Amino acid sequence: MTRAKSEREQAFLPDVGDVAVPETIAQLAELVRAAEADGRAVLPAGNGAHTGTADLPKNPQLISTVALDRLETYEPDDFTVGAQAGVPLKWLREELARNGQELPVDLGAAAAGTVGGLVARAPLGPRTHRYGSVSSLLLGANGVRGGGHAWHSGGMVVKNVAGYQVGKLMAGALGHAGFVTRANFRLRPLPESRSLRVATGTPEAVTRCAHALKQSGLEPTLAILRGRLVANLRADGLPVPAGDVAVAWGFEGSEPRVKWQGAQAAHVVQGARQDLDLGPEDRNLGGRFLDFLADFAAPRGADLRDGLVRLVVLPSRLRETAADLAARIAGWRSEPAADSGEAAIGSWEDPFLGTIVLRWSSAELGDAPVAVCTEIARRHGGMAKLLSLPPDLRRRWPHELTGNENQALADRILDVFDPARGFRASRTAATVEARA
Amino acid sequence: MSASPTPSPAALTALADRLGPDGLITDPAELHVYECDGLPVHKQAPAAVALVRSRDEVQAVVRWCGEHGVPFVPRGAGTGLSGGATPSLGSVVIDLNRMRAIREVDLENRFAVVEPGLINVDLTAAVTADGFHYAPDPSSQTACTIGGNVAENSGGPHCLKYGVTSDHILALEVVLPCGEIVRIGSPLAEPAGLDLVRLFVGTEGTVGIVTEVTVRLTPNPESVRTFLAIYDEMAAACRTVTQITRAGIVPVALEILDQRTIRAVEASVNAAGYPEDAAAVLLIELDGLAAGMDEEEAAITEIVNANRPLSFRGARDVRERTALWKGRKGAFGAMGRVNTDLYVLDGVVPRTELEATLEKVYEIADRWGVMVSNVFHAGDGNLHPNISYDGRDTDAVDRVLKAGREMMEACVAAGGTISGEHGIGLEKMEFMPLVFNEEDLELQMGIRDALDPDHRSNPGKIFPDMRAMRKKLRGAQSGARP
Repeated sequence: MTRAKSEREQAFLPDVGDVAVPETIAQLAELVRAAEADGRAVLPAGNGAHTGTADLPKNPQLISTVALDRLETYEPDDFTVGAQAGVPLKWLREELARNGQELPVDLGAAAAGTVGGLVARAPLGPRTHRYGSVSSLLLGANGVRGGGHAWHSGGMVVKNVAGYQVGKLMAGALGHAGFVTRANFRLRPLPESRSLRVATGTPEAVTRCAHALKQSGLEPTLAILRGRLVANLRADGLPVPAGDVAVAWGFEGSEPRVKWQGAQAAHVVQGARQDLDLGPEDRNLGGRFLDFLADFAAPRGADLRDGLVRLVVLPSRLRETAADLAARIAGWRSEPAADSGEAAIGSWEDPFLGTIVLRWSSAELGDAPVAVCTEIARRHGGMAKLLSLPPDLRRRWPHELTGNENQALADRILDVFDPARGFRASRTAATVEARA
Repeated sequence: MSASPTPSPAALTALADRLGPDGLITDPAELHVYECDGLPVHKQAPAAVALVRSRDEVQAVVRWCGEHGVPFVPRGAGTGLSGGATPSLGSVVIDLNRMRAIREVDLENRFAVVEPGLINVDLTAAVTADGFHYAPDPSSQTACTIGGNVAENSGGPHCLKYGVTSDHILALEVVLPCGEIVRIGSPLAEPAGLDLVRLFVGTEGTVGIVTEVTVRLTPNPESVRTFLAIYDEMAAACRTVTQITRAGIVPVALEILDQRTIRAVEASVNAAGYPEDAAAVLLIELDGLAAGMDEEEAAITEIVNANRPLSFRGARDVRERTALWKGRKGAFGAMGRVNTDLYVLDGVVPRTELEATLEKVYEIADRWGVMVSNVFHAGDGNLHPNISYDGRDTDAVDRVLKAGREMMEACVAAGGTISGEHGIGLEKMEFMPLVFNEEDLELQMGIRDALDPDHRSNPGKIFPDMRAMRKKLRGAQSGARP
């Protein structure tokens, strides 16, 4: 079975044929072996929603796990779920919500993508600091590696130290260690309430407010927003006062806890209030806000116009990093354009994680921000990762913009998963070309 | 255990010279101290013990072992319960207890950098006044070391809410078996490339020795409430836990002790005032913001009362809270009163299977004529059947091991696994085929081989003899996937 390429796949891999869609693990294994025998790279494809995040090999065999789409084990009473890699995240979210549960990973409004892709990308989100990374939530995984060898690790229980934690290695591996064919997660109850409040003001006032909330002992989701992100939030109907620099916070949990925290936060903000325009609190909009941030930080399906980079520094360095970045991009238009109504650039800072996600219009700025982000990340002892660029620009840059000093060690381990180096052909293109 | 050549006296002298005075133990009488960890069923005196003080000394010993073809076994406090620190024949134990410094504490970024020999509870003690703690809290935390916790991916009662060791390790410095020093991970929110830290945690010393650990620090909760529910039947205690889980409440701890454990504890120095005629006691702890905690407490009270406890009370202050926990924390030590030896099992089942699995555990024990008591992390389904026996009685030892195997099989049959926090070590190698097939183990062993091709780093642990295993698996009727 095959499927047509998604728009992103077509844009990034125009010369590659249709995507193979195995219906069983055995078929997947056979496809992997066949690709290796032909000397071709293998690119795990999912539903093609996020192609272009990982570095792309030349002429890969695209193999999608979308037909491996069964919810194999769901134990609502134990708050655990085991889903095949092709299960759509949107469907999974709806299914869990029916039991008042969720996988506490911020998926965005469309929740584009599949379970396998979620593990491969392991995105950071506005609630990562609170509930843990994708890796923390992963209880076990099954996969197919080079040579078509199927494996499994972990299980369905919430504590498990039997053997090496191979499944955890797959989180964030971007498919370089082969396919995830199933992932088991621990779940959480859907919160009773999710609030949102936004304040705008000068960059200094916003930053001061955000850091006061961070130090308050409360448990907010917290974001500093700049440029087009603020305008887009407002355009989306969220209660954002005028201005293009904002701090947004929200609480989730039981009604009493959310209400109390909201009131406490108001006191904290009052103390840092100078130059702030405070919007109303809404105890139902928190979910939409989380989706908004997740969408901002992810490649947007068929929309290939934007560039997207994530910087990660220590939280204590976020202020100076953000100030440095703001100074460097000050000349770039962050006000909405008269014709499109859209600003060229916007960013989201997470004071808990120490992350800055920068999104810009590549039609206006090309890939110029990539070099800036890389330099700034290095200067502040952090890292930068490229999440998206239009295809013609994407080829110029690696995903790991600031490099990886443990690449050699990682390769020794990846050689076990992928002796033929077919899943890592993006970094060994010469090998692939020689084989071809 | 794998055999290896015993190092020559001349070679050992050279090592002793490198480590300086009191750096190397070779006296057979002293070596006996290191012949096992908390699992006395397996014993093997090492050829020598290196008492290292620094990363450079660790590297020197590892390189020396490479030059002389000698295996090495890292050791922290030796409190492990799976034989992970039991020496192999002719090995050198690398004792890390002298490396116990706290090198850096960064409260703003919520991490600390420590040496592997630092005692778990000492780390929390160092930061508690600043409003932080190190969350993984194994029952042995007053003795076990951070390095040992990393090796075993240790848990503890409070990992129900806060996660296990691997959720709290940000970076490691490792001396690989070839002697190369690598630094993996960082205090940043995500790793560059592969998450090697997650892989290394829990490898039980089989792919190198950790010489520095960057740990995540957790803010102390604003409010803590601890409760004790007493039941006249174990099933009611288990049902309470299952129902709390089902309700979506996530306490910070849910711990159960059975009657035999209660009686042992109450006869010990750690007596906590648990009633000795109770079938089970359930410790429940909530923590977090004070706001909303009344509602959580009300929800839990309703669930507890629905299961008809004999009594249910909350600790009114820190002193009472400490007293409630004293018995739980002293439970393993108290078992020494029951018999000379204790086999501590460690299996995990889904929370929905607690009641049925415990019934099975007691039935197995009765059938094999062994005395089992249970104290366990009910909130995450992590059971610890404790079998008391006299190690001098070979028949008893045989029955204990057979009963233990059946209990592990019962955990797997219930959808669980063979270890929640103690690791595989020597004890559970033979059980690995219960949860992994040949392909699974080939992958893990391939990773081991990639980092330790000569099998010098804690050899003979975790992975069973593959030839014997293949024979067993190919004779089995079905694979062993959960």
